[in-house]
Amino acid sequence: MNTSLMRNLVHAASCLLLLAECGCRTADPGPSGHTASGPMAPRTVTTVPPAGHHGSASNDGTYYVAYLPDPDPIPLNQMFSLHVWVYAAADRSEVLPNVRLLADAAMPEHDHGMNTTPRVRANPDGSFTVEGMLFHMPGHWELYLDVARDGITERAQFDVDLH
Amino acid sequence: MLTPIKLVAVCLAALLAAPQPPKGNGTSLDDSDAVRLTADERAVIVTLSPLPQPPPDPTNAVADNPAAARLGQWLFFERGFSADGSVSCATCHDPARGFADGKPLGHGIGDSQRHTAALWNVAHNRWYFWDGRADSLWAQALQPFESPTELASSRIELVRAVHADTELRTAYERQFDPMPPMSEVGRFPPAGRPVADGPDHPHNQAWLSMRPADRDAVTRAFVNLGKSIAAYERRIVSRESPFDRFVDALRRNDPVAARQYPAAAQRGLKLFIGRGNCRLCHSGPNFTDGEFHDTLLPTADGGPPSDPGRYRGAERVLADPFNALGVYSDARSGAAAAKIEFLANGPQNWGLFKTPTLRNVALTAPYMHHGRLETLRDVVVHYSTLPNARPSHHPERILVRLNLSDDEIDDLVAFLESLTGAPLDPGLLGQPPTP
Repeated sequence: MNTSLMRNLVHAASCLLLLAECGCRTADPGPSGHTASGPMAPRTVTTVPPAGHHGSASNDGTYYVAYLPDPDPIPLNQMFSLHVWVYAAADRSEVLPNVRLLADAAMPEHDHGMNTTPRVRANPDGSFTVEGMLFHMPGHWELYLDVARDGITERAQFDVDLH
Repeated sequence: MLTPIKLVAVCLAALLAAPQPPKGNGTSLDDSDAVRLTADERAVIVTLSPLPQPPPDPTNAVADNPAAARLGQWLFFERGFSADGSVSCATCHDPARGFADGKPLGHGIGDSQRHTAALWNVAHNRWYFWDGRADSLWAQALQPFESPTELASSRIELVRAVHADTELRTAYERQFDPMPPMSEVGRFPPAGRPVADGPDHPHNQAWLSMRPADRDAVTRAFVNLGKSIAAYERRIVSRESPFDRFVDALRRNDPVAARQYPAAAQRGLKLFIGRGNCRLCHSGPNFTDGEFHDTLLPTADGGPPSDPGRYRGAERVLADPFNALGVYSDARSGAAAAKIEFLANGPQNWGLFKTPTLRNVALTAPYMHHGRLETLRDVVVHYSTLPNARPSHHPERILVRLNLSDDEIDDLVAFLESLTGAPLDPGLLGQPPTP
């Protein structure tokens, strides 16, 4: 078999595989059960707040901050993480770029915070992961998610009551 | 909003409110001589029992190895490793005294500045020592060997002693790589260890005279001996107590079994989880949050406190070569490493001490980090009236004077006494005939 035919066959096979994959994602199966082929659909990443999230406007109303804990719900005296999404207050279709997130927590009635210093990671999709959270006592905690942008920081805070 | 906790409480309440089928004398939990518990109280009580299996310790590859535990048990009771042959781990952690020593302050070769902590449920601890300066049971076990007030020895002496005893060395080399050739006196001095705050100490000088690879080999053997001791100590676990049987009866809705639990202890339990707020720190089935608090204990001379507690402990655990991130740890990532990675320290930690477990607490008088409260009653009275409570420049918001009546104090003590479990397997209480 000559190399150009081989090359064409490999190329065709690759195209068919790609089309089949895209077809599975974006097209309904036809009556024969095979997916219809079509142009390659762009891969989209959902960045609207996920179902079941906890959300709040920031204290001056500029942002909407959403989080999901892991484990969920937040456990007593066991390290947990947060997945956080920051939006403009008026538009929750896509997370805001160019923001920094800081995370902290405290028990105001006890006048103490956490015994850990959490670490914030910016994820490629624009969300944030906060690791190293620990609520070591039962009672009323306040979770602080601070959004810093263009030199101005606004706090979004959440009540978390552990029993 | 119907949170999961409220849902459980509502279901429990519904179950317990349902008409009971006739059972023997047809009584219910709402019997006149039984103590009534609310649904909210029941929801908290079921979080306090039973004690689950100890969490694994991935930093210790032999943590659950029975043969290593046997070697560790042999080492724990062996006095021959101390400076004058009179002190073993069991000298202060005496099984006959609840694995403590019944004294206010520990005394090995020398005097300690703190009360000997009991070893019940140490496998469940997050941090070790009153100040949390070790992050694993094996890292803790190493320190007494080299402490001048405890066994007052050095790692070279310990490793040489094991190496020189055929039976011990064989038991050791069944679990671990061969020991370094300790009999080569040119390479291995008679004694030696790193002394961070004593560079001119003879032990430190001897240690530095060794080749780095030999220092590492001795330290590795030292670490393995500590890991064996930890494997034994993981088995010092409190067993079922009257309180656990009571909670089990609640879960099974068995009023006859529940009435076996003394009414005084039930009243004490209500205080413990209610007005007493004890469970804010003494939380969960091991009755401790494993973290650090200020209990406003007065000092011996009435002056300011001098023991930095957690503040110094956190500094030390972060710098400890035997912590989860160190080269001797068998798991430098994961949950054990995360404890160290995320640990916060600051002035707020000054003078704080670790919450101990309350399981088997009746077995381990006296109490607190300096051992100055002689009885459980003294402890409850302290929290009730905070007599001579030391003023704190960190405003104390958790502890308030409870002003309990004498009967309430008795009830709380009765509850604490009901946390004493069945005796441990006698096979764990002394030196095995062979390592």
